[in-house]
Amino acid sequence: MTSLLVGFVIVLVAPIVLASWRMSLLGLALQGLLMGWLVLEEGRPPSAAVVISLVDLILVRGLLVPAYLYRALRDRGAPGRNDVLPANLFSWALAGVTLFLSLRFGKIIDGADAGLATQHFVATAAFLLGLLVLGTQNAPFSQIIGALRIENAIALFELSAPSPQPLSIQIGLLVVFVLTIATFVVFLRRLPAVGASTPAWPEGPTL
Amino acid sequence: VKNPRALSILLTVASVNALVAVALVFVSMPPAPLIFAHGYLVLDPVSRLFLALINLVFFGISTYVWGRVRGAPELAIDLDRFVWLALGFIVAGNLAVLSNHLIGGWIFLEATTLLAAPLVRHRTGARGLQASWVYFLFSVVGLSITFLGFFFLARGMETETHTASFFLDEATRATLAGPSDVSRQIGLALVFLGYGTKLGLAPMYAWLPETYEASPPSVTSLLAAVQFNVALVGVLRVLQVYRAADQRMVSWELIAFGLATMSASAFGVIATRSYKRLIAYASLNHGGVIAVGIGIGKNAAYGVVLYVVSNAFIKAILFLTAGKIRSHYQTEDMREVSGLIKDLPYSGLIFMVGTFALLGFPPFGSFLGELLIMSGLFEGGYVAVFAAFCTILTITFVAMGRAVFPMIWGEPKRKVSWGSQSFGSVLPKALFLCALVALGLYLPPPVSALFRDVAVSLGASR
Repeated sequence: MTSLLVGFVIVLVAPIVLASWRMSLLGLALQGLLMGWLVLEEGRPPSAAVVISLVDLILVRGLLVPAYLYRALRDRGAPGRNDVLPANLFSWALAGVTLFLSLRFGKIIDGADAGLATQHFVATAAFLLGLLVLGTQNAPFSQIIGALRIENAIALFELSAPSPQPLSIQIGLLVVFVLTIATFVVFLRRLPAVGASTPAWPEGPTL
Repeated sequence: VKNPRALSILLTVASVNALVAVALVFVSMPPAPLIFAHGYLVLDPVSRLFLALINLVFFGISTYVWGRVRGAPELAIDLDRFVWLALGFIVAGNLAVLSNHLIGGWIFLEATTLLAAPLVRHRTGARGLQASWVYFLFSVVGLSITFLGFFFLARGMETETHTASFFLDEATRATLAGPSDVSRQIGLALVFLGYGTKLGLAPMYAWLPETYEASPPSVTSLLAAVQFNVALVGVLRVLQVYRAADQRMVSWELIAFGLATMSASAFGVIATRSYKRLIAYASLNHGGVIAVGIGIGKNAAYGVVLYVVSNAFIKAILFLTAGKIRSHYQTEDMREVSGLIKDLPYSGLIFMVGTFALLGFPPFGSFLGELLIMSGLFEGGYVAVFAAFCTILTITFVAMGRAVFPMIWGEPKRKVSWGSQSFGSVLPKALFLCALVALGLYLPPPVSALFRDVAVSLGASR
């Protein structure tokens, strides 16, 4: 499990250093796949809850979401470079501090269980880095990446949940997540690039 | 287009919903909550009150839309999409209010967000699209934070004898069984922060003024008077489970959010030049007052219930009237609008009365509600909070009056022309005004009993 979590940290941090939207999407895909691997490695007995969890992590987060966003960005002709965080020392230092604080948080809430502490360190780091991305970016794609990093962080937290939610709730959560992604893509296709002018007022009457 | 089919469906569904929901207020119910749909839905005082509230407001908004489309046939273009989204929105809102499962309620609240995002940009151009994006992004992030809070609450709930469950009754039992721990406190902090985003509470309120200003008036009313209350039910359900065991933590967090929001609102009211944004900032203020009231609970609880219900009607009245003013003057700049009472007598009158209710004048329910909350603050020994609360309210009051009164009573800047006012556009606002006055003067016994029951769930003594 620890090696998978180390892998998760790498795919979390790599897109910050390698500033390209393809790398961001690859990072998201690998996060989903690694979480799916974590579930498989736990060796839970097969059940509908486990199947839903694997569909969510591997199929939706690992494959569909990155592929869907990839198509939207390719159709839009987005330039290759995309900074997840502003490329300056201050932002990188903030990311470093975030990692350190996450490590401390994991130790504080799960000091007795090293495995759980590591998992919560990684999930907290993913969550806080997602917030950092949201707080420092104003382009729609970067903001979507920030929001999806937060969603993945919560999914990683959920993997350590003591008992799973009822099946109907799990299905509801999956449906809502898929619809959220679909809405993100609609916005990504329609929103103008940052800096493009927008008319001050709508024309004609409104409801 | 005289009466498109979609419009008839909207009005029919809204009328039936409102009738059923109001009937649920007046019908005699057993004291124990009625749990159904395999335990996922519940009919108790909270759900009965909020079902009635959101469906009445939705009926008013539907009537307004009907009146607008009859008055401006070009609005019928793309109306089907608007109607289906609005109907989906109210269905999801009703299910969220009825939910007996904390995460189930969260899922339906998220569904209302998914349906509201396209409504925000309905016929509003690029500006509406941008506002819709800001609204959606903040909502998704806020609700994600809430969900993370649920994870920590589940951790805090799990013991050797209890498994975590978010069905209200089971969660309450589990909470009372064990002492509060750090997981539960982190969970509560995150849940209130996340739901606070949906309510427009500080620190994550920035989406609200922009979205309320850019959306069509009917959609602004849906967000401000319907979705706000659906999100509030989420907060009330969490309080129902955790207030008894974590009173101190819950109180101070909500009071802090409330005061911070009221301060942000006061600055916004002073700075803005747009009357729609001004009402949006006043809504922020109301959200802050409600958060403070809920935080105190006990003696203020009845006042909070009264204030919440009044607040929904006030926001619906003002945003719908702002739509009429905007369509008449073709501007949202307050400096360009003057002499409203002469220029648009019906809308001017409704706007004036709505503003009085907003500012907490008697005889409206908001006056009584605010008074009860203030008295609850004082009796509860929150003297510093009371002082801050009164100071911020006074600043907001003066700033609002200074901005709005010239709009209403100033000299008209253009030639006076009495705009035609369709019955459909005036009727809902007039009904809401009657409800507002009734809230302050006389409540039928079943309604008053329901308010008391909801207040008890907020911590008031019987």
